[in-house]
Amino acid sequence: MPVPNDPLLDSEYDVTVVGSGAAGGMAAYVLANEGVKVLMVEAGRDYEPTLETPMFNLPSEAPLFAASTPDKEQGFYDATVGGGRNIPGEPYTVAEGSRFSWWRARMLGGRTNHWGRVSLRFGPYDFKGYSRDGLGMDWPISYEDIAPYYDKVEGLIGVFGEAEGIENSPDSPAGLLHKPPKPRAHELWLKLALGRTMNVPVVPAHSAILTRQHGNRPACFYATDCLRGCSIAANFQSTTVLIPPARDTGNLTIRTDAPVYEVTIDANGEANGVKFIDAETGARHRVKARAVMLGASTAESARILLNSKSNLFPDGLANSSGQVGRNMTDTVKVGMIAQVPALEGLTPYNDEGVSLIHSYAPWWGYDAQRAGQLDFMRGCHLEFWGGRLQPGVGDGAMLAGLSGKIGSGLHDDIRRLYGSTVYISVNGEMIPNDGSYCELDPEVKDRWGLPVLRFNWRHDAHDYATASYQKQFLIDAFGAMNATILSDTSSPIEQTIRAGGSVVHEAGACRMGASAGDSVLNANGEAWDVPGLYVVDAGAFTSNPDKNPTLTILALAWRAADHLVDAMKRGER
Amino acid sequence: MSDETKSSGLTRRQTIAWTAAVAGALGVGGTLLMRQYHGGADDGEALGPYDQAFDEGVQASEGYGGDPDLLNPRRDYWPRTVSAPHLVVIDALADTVLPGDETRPAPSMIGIGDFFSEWLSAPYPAQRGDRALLEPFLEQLHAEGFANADKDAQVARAEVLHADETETAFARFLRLTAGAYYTTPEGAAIMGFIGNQPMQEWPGPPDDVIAHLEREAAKLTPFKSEL
Ligand SMILES: Cc1cc2nc3c(=O)[nH]c(=O)nc-3n(C[C@H](O)[C@H](O)[C@H](O)COP(=O)(O)OP(=O)(O)OC[C@H]3O[C@@H](n4cnc5c(N)ncnc54)[C@H](O)[C@@H]3O)c2cc1C
Ligand code: SF4
Repeated sequence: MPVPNDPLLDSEYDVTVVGSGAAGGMAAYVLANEGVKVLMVEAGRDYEPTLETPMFNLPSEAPLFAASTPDKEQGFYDATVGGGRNIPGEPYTVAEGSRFSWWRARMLGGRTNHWGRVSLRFGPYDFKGYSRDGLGMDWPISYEDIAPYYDKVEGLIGVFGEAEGIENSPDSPAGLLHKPPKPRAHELWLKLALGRTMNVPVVPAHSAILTRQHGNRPACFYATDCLRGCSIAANFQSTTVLIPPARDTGNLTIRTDAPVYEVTIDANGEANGVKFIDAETGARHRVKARAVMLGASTAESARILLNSKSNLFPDGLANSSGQVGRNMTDTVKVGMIAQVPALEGLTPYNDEGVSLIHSYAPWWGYDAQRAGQLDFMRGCHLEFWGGRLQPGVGDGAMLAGLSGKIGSGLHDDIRRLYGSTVYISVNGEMIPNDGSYCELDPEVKDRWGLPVLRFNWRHDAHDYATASYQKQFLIDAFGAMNATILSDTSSPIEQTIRAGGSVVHEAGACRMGASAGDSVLNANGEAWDVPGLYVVDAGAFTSNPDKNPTLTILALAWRAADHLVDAMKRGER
Repeated sequence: MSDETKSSGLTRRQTIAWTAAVAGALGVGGTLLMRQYHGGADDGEALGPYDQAFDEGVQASEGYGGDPDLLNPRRDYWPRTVSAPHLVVIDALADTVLPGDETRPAPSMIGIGDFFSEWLSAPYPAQRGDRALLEPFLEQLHAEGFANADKDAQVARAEVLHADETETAFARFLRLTAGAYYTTPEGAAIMGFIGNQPMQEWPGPPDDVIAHLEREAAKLTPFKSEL
């Protein structure tokens, strides 16, 4: 069936960017600033944080006092539109015996509107894991290749943090990072306690939040919740930091409510546009371009490729290696809540800070690994959540349970216990295995009749060794600080380890590599098989270190866009 | 041995109760601790894949949908269906478990009935579960004339319910009451929350808090593996 050109989009574009989150937003920003005519095609609706963010709205003004519901799974005010683990009409399936959950957003800016802003550079070891320990596959690039892009990204988006000289957690150039906020009480406690009892150094987090004026963006004013988004643009969202300046160049056109379902190729097998659906009318359209950059998120970009079948590519576009959808990883994570007596009854004070983490602990175990004392080879880091933030319905409920009293004693207990519970999450690296991948479901279709993804998930021995260490670490650490663990620690490690996808750090489904035989993309993020087709989201990751992915998505997207611009300037595209 | 004391001064029974408290609290919605990565669904609670329950549980038109107006939140998305006599019981019981005094308003004074009437009328699975659990319980207290009993009798009755571990409806009521109460601006202030005030610099914890934490940390001893 012939698919018409979109009437609104009849003009010529140089590049079509699919998706508008970290990946798509960054690609469009770089291209538009280089004078390239860009069409961004986004499945979700338009979204304007300066007008839509409920900065100071109180929980008690919201339905169900802002509690989570199937409609808003992270609470009413969370900056996720039309998304979550369940998107009506856009299902996914999970293979028998696998545990997987997929968090998506359907809005301009994608998941960057509400992400946790933790922004850690991958280190030199992270790109060469296989060479160090024989696991997984080396990246075709090294830290030196990406470091200039980390510098550029941090300079553009604004990240706070400090230079600590920590092994494999690279320092940024002097003066680049913003000053981190002081630790809150629970973070100070964990710094003192973990340092003293476990010999784990706790340092300032690296987070994409401004603590000083940054261009025309003001510093954070320390009063509202970043997960609702930021109307003053003091944290990083694609919709406040990337898309507005890209639009201002006059080179970016945005088409929202337009899920892409196919990348098209010309007679030479080169990418020449995309087909998408008008989500309002269901009508199908196509647009032409000289190159396509996919940034629909790891699994969704793989899905688009798998759905782009042709005589040339019967198993999906760019899939001659059979690796599209394979090698998926997420973070190996164990987290626990505990109640800390030392944090009870503190003098009330304003504990809001930047609303997200101020402190974290980068991997402390390289010496132990070198000494052969650990049975896993990759890193973990700690993230801390707690403090005396604006309470939600779950908080009073939990504290009432902890008090165990009724009457005025309950009031007193809740005031004493408020802020004394902490959650530590230990995030570690998952090694790709051949049982963790996504594929097209042979039967289930979405509301437009397109095959949906089926996820297969398995953790291997190394992942379980990592998770067992994480669990024991938390038990030991909380024990050593006289805290009471409130999480259930009795289940076997297979259940304690978080389900695939649930940490929302999915990566690897279109990995880059050194050879076309075992990877989808070359070192520039361009498909081996299809000139002019790039994948710029975490699908490109060859490995998925413990460090959260988004800063690296941004850096790689910038790098890939530079590569494309260079090719265009040379007249090769 | 079930009541042996752990180093932190808690009995094992208390620890188990606490663990249950956390698990129970999650169903009500995200807590502070669970802000990142899925609100409440963290911490071992199996994360369902594409979940049939979502489909079966709610018709899109019944709830507020995936894209409500966040700047102008409303609390009338669905009709309130809790009966007037049950609302009277709710006020009376909430004021018994979390009594007001000179400095702390009673729950009935800051809208606990309104919260429950919205919550128990909501179309979502968790709230429908609460409705199924609490409606017979409220009806029973209504039939007993709880709201009209004198204060002492109400306290005595609440204490009996509280002591009875099989009284899941009471336990749930208590959690919801505390959850809602401390989410209101009045309750949050009573709890010791200070914030929502834009400022140029964030000062960090006060000196006495820092000194206290340093003193407490100095008492800790390095961890030694028992292996
Ligand atoms: C609660 C939470 C906290 C997080 N915290 C952190 C953190 O602290 N640090 C960190 O590094 N990462 C964090 N993450 C992960 C982070 O959000 C993602 O890594 C990042 O947003 C991925 O960027 P992306 O551009 O690949 O995908 P997204 O941001 O998801 O953007 C993809 C966009 O593509 C669109 N799209 C999808 N399919 C199509 C299609 N077929 N056609 C057109 N458009 C399509 C989507 O609608 C979406 O707008 C967190 C995630 C969550 C959910
Ligand atoms: S804490 Fe700061 S950065 Fe985050 S939303 Fe509030 S003002 Fe913006």
